[in-house]
Amino acid sequence: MSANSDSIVGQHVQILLVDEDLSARARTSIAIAGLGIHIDAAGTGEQAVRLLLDRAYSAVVISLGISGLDGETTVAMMRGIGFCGPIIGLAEGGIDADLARYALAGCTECIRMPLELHALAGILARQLRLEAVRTEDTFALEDMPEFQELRHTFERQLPVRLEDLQGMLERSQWEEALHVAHTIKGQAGTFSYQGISELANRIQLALIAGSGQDALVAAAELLQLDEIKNILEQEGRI
Amino acid sequence: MNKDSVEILIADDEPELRATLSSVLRSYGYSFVHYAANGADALQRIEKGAPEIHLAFLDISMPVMNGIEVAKKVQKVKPNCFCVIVSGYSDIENVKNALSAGAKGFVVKPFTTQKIIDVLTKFEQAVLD
Repeated sequence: MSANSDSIVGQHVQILLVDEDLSARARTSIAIAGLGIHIDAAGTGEQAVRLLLDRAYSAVVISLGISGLDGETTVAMMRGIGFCGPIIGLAEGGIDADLARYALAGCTECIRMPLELHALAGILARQLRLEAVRTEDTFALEDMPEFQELRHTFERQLPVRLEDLQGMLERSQWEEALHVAHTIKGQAGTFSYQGISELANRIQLALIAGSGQDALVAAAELLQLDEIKNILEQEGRI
Repeated sequence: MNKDSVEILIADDEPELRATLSSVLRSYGYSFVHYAANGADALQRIEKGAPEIHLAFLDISMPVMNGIEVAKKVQKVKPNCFCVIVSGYSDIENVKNALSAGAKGFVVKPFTTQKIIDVLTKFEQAVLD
């Protein structure tokens, strides 16, 4: 790998590698890890789409020969949800017509197999440079003053909402509790309280599954979170 | 069309989510943002067309009518409206249903600004001059 590629790709670049063949995935990972980027791997199209929804990636490298949700459909779905970064397709013995189809589905570039790893690394480095230019003005939600105000409002209201939620669960008011848990889950996630969001989600899932007992257990765990204790302390509740 | 003339609807029953998304959109130069707290209200606003909504963020689990149902109906009456589904879950069936309903984007909460920018980029490539 050239030093030039290393310096251009730089820090905090995360890419998604999709291949159902474990050894091929390992080989490709080693080749592109030389660029200094972090790699998440998915073995199926479904898993890849879910990861792309949940996390931020600068690029996707996908073997188009995956089974189940096939490569072409997976790429189309990735574009369908709005992913705008580069998608590099690895085409198993692809003829020109196949490559045209993959491009139509949303591949930025395709490489024919057998894969020449240095060629992939070169394409990826070039595409990541373009992607860095496209996203250079991106800022974090946390940097916005309005966001901080909303976060404080959430923190101020949370103790009362937790009391409400606990009361609803104890009185078996499942539907009302589900609504409150759903709201807390979404807002806590938005305001980077991952632990609160995950436990509120557990309460929600337990209620959807009809298990009030599991919801109560998750609610008890929720109240023990450091995130909650810090907020209660900050709001003068403890 | 340019950014100054784009009318956006955010349909979500969580005021904080509406406010957060609205702030992001304004930061990227979109000034005309409208709100709806449930699916029926969202559909009515889009159908009415006063103003014409060009881009709609539709929460998947809103009261009265969910976001996917809204997107499906919008495709029939206002096919040029660019619908984006916002969901609390990265569930593949929901993604398939959203895309089948004609949605042009799918964002999972909690979202980052990058996810919103991606959707805006897609919208701008499809619609803006």
